[in-house]
Amino acid sequence: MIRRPIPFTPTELLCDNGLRVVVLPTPSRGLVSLWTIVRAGSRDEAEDGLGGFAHFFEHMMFRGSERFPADVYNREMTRLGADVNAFTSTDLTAYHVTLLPADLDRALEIEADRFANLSYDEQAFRDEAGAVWGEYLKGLADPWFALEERLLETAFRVHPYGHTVIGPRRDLERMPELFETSREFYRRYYTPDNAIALLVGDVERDRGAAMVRERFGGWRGAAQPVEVPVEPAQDAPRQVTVRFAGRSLPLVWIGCRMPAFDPASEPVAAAVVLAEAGFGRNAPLWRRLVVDERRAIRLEAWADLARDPRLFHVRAAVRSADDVGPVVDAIEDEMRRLADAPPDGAQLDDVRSHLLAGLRLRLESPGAVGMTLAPLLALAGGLDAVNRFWEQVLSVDAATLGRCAATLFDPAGRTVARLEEAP
Amino acid sequence: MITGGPLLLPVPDEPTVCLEIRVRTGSSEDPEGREGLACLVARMIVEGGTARRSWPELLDAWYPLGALPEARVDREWTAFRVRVPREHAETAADLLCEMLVEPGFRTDDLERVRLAALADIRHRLRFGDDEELAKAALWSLVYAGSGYAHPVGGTVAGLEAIGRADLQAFRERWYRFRALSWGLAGAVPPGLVSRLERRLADLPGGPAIALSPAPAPALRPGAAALLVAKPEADASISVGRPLGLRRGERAFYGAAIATSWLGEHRSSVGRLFHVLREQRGLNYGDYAYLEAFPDAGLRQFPPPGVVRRGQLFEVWIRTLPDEAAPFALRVALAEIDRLVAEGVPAGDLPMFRSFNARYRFHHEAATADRLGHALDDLACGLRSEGHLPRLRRLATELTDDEIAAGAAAAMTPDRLGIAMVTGAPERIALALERGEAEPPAYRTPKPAAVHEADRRYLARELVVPRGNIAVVPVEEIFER
Repeated sequence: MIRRPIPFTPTELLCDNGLRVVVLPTPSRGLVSLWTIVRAGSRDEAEDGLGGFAHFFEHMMFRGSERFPADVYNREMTRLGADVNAFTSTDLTAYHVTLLPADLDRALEIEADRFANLSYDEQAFRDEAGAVWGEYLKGLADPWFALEERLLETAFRVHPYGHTVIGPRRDLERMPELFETSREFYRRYYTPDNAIALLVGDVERDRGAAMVRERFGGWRGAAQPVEVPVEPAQDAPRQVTVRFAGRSLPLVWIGCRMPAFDPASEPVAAAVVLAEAGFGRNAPLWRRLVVDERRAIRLEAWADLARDPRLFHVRAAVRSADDVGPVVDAIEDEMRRLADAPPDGAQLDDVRSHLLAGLRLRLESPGAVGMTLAPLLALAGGLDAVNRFWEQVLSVDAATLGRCAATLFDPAGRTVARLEEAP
Repeated sequence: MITGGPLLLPVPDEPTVCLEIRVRTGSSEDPEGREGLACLVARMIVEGGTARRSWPELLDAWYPLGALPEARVDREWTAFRVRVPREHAETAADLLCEMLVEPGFRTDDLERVRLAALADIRHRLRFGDDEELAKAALWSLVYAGSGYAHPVGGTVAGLEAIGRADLQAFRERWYRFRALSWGLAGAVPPGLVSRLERRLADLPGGPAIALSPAPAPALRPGAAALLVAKPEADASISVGRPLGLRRGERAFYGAAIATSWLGEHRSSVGRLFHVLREQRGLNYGDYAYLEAFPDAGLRQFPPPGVVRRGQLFEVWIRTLPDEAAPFALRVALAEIDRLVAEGVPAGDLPMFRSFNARYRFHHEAATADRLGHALDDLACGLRSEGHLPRLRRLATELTDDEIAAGAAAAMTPDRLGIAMVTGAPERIALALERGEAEPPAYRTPKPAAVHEADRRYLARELVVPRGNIAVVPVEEIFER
């Protein structure tokens, strides 16, 4: 078995206020990256009208605190030459600051203050709603986005995974009215016991841990997450077709229901392997559709690692409308084949080697390590569990793959979404 | 290019090795009627078979390494890069050399790669990203009639006309051993350099061919506009002028610090961002550049490998409503006028000096990027001190006057290209021709100071003579 797929040794601690801290020195010189990861994402938008709120709230976090209002925050981070950004996904929102090690303590001081003492007025809130609306409109021009919206709302009827991270149009339109809700959202989710601080790169482990503990020590509160409804099992195949107003190649996106992440879950580890073995560029199907028949310009698959049961995705950009049917049939045939004749022997060894090399190649700078690990840490809680999960991925055997494929690719749990240009 | 062997940046404790091999050619050397050839040759090398192996067999060989080489083609350079775990270094080096030295250029590979390259123009560039399209349109306007005019990916007609003989001839001419510039970084194992040297020596012989003379900008004094007509589109704008400065010159670095102040890429502290997005909420961001920055919507830092003899000072105004476009143009120009006349405000300078002295470390956070920038330095003749260290040093050394002079040299809008993707080309053309602009319709109330500033912005003169305005339907741009 491959031990420690993530080849760095962390120092981990739990602060008195519930904040988990992971310090991860890496062989990079001259830069350190601070990640504050909050377990709030589009999954937590269970209440009516709140679709897109977690992402919207990410924008509000850049409005600063009384001590460091937005203008002061931005100017100080600029003076420090910090690379500052954030992103929101289904399950988390991650804020990151990368800068020179000598400036880390100052950055921690400023960063911690906005988590503990965020402050903005209603006008700022309304202005930001306009910026998010602009982001949504820009996304609409992307045919993949249009297809994803419809795929998700078809695959999920109750769970918030049924909308995209940026949120549905109807909710975004009334976002400017939800100032009070935003304060409530902050109290419920932006609490130290619902967050992880990750310090990665050119950092001395004990000193780094002490700095985080001290600067984030004043952050108070206890998470009060809203209960997220459980999506009933899907008992029949679903499909949806999008007629896209812009120009696009025909697109196909297939979602198969899969279980929630758990570091010990065999089906989830198997799904990661099946995505690569079944649909990666060395898979027989990829060779056939992309290289030999050229019906697909692009073919890719991935498994969601998510807090609640979500999807295994296969998607393709197709050469012409006539090729859409054959491409969908070929993908569905391949799903059956993976259950009957799962990858084995040398092929499986190659897939494992490819996955491990791919994982390690992603860890090329402090920022890239943070980007790779933040979502996994939010799910798994600590680096040990992340390593355990990856060890499991790299050791799943053929029999397990076949068994898991049979369940994962059961047609009853499948949603097929197609996109074609509107006539 | 290659004199004493490759450039080496060893980092022994790193788990990976990177290899970059550059060829001194790019899309500016595409023959007329074969636009896209440089890019297609490079793509055929990394996305097609060799003389010995089919493309699927090559994929099999690369697969356990977890990586595939990528080709980054620009106007004047073509770079092949790969990074692998160090235990795979020799295998990767052998495979990449096989691809470069013995390309297959097979007909079936050509058809597949051509299909993808055509989709990149017809779907991705024309309909996937209006902002990248406006940038491509700006280069085609400023450098009309030259090798810089078409996008690196080529034109539809150019790609369709390319045959196997074109691929072979282009490679024979440009992919010569003596035209290489290459380097290794990370945990470079012993013996790897000589192994590579032996294999690469099998590339075509003969002297390196010099690039054609640097393309001359087509812009005359005044303003010219290229409007890409795209039904229903909002306005995506890129504005620019030819840059007379080069990396290495002190004035370039003065201009670089002033450019940070005006609009560092994706910074929320830049002046343009402040006045257009923060104060007025017109769009998502507004930035300024001294050098090309491909795929700006997807990156935080510019990639290495885009060194060009001709560059543009460029302003990127992100998508906003068509009716606000003439106003936004005036805001950008008025801010540039003020920067050229007065320099960066004294109160802001310490912050932007400090920023440049620190932030430029991020450009080379990964070893692979450090290697790319070091090769860029070689290309620019910056041997004693590289471009990024120079910028970091000069950020604190340059005088305020030098920064102001750099800004004036780079930005004076005496010759101006305006490229815009828009759903209202006729209305915009008329507004440009008549020199008209309306105040924007704000969604939320604005303070009196904003309205007052708007009146000053609207007074900024901008007239583009009708003869200098071209309108091209989106389906036709880069067709030939």
